[in-house]
Amino acid sequence: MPLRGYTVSNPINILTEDQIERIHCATLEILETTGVVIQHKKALEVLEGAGCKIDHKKQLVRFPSYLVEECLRRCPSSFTIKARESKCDLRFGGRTLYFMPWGGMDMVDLNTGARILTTTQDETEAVIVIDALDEIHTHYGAYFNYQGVPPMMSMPVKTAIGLKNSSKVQSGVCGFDWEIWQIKMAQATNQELIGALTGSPPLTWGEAVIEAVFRYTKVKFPIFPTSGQAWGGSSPATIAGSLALNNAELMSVLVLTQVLNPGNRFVAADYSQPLGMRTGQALLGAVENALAGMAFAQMWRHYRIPVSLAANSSDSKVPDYQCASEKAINTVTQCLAGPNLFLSAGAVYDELTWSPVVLVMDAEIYGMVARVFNGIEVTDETLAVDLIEEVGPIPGHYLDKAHTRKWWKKEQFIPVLADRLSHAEWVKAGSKNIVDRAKERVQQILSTHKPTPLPKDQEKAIDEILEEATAYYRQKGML
Amino acid sequence: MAAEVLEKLRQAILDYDAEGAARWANKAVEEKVDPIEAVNALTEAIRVVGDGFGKGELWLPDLVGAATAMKSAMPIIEKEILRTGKKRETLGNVVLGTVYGDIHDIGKNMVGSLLTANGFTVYDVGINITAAEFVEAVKKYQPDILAMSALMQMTAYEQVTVVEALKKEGIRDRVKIMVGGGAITQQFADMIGADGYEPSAPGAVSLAKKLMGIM
Repeated sequence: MPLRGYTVSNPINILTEDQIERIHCATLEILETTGVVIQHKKALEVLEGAGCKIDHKKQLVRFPSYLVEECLRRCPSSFTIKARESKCDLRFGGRTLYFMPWGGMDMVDLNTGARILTTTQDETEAVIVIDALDEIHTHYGAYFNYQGVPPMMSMPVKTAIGLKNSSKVQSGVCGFDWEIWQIKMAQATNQELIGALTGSPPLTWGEAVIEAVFRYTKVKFPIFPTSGQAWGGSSPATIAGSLALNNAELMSVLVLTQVLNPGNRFVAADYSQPLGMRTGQALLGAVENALAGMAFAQMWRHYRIPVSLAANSSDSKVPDYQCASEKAINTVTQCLAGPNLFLSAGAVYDELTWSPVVLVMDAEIYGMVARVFNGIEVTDETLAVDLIEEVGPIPGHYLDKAHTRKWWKKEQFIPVLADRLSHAEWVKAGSKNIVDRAKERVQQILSTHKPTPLPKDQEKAIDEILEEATAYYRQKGML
Repeated sequence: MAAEVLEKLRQAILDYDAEGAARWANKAVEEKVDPIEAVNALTEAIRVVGDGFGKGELWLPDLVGAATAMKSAMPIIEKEILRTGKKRETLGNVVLGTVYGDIHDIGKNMVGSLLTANGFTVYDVGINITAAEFVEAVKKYQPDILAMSALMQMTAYEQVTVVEALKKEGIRDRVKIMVGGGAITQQFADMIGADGYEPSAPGAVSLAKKLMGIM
């Protein structure tokens, strides 16, 4: 039985049929007329064989519309991703929604916002918290840098820590041949990885990323490409134009995937944001992400291909009012549009800082959002007309009724962290704020939660793969 | 006539008009306008835009638009400077590029625009630049500053390779190295032995000036 995640019934549509058609046609026109640069010789040959027009000198691929539409149909609309314990398998597609942390470069100092270079112990603890939370279904670890670990080894080490300390499906990261070790580690532990790719908009895929497509499709792992436009910088300043460009970039790699392995599992991931026109940094907390994300989810639901949205970070540097409001607004709106995956729990500032304390607070937001998904049940029993007749006006009340005992917990979400005490009780309890309580919750998880350990031989196999990777990079002069 | 050409040149930058800037640069050469005065007109105009940006009245698209207009006029005027053997004033020469493995160029272009707007001469060597290519550019342009950009945390490490290559060639100390981009931290910059670090594009100008001992 896979993890069931949340169910988003009746997702909200933000685009009209007419708008969907126009964005789709614009996407096809971009692919057919402007084309996409794919910096990989073998990929160009493969795509040429499939019917694309190639300018080999410019490495430019123009995609005929029939091929794009054929490949869209080849992608499965739902599929399973295998975890090391079957209870953690994921079943993508339909109305299922999963939540996922996407990590941050460094740990954030919760008071000052300072960036703290982490240790492998910090990563291990973060993964244990991820493993413990029911609201989190899959992950990408927490940090990208560890004291004492050579930079080239940080990603393989991150994957190893993730696999050893959680049964939840993990995402890989491509580049510098890292996917070689990640694939090996996943295979050694009898599970699959989500094959994440990062694009270089506008309309360009780098060599290392495309090499990863070959490696992932060879072992038939699901592909998870994010393109990551910054509107007004690497894509048009308009949401509609950025949607079309984003679609074109994802579909170019989708075609390659489906030509290499028809039916390869594919999750279309949005990672686009407005460009901050003062600093030049992408604005992950911007409210426009809600609009674009909702539209993106609707487009890919229309294609019947699983879709991921990713605007659950903030532009604030500390977990304050700005951070929480940006995250909550984007989470509520985008999740109601029916994505199958939503990133990135635990993030504070952009994808640069992260904290397990924020992760547990995000998990509470997901619980609240899930309550909204569940909607309002309208039946004779919930309308309770008979009960209203029975209780009547004051001094009648509902507190002692069986109906209340049966229904209130179904109707009310009970928060773990949010403060609902009276003022006097709150003072008596130490006048703590939510961050204080979240810190305590993290400590409590770390002292009680024990992830299912890997069998000894598999743990050894992972260590051997790390040694092999070290030797590989050393030989290449990269360590 | 010279005054009119210079005014048109200045206005083309203020109008973010790349085509007009090139046209009036050619006209300036044709009319034998002093190329140093032409450069000064361009620099003055872009400084106006830079100041507007600094005050928060103008935004990145304005700044980069003006820098692009300037970029289209500059080679024409520079050729004339070279021909006449005159000398152009600059705050400093900067070689700028995105490291190998990284093909992002927006951040780099912003930094280039801002440095140009503030009186630096920028040699933008492009994206996906290998350590060997950076070494070559340092030898060729003899810059005061080498500015490297990496958007992605993974490619930030490539900057280590560049610094090592410069050391190997014995030219590390000839340039000040500044690194930047969202993925980089002061700690990282210290680790690779960079002379300066700045996470955002606008701050790159003050950093460059500091490295040049101007402020």
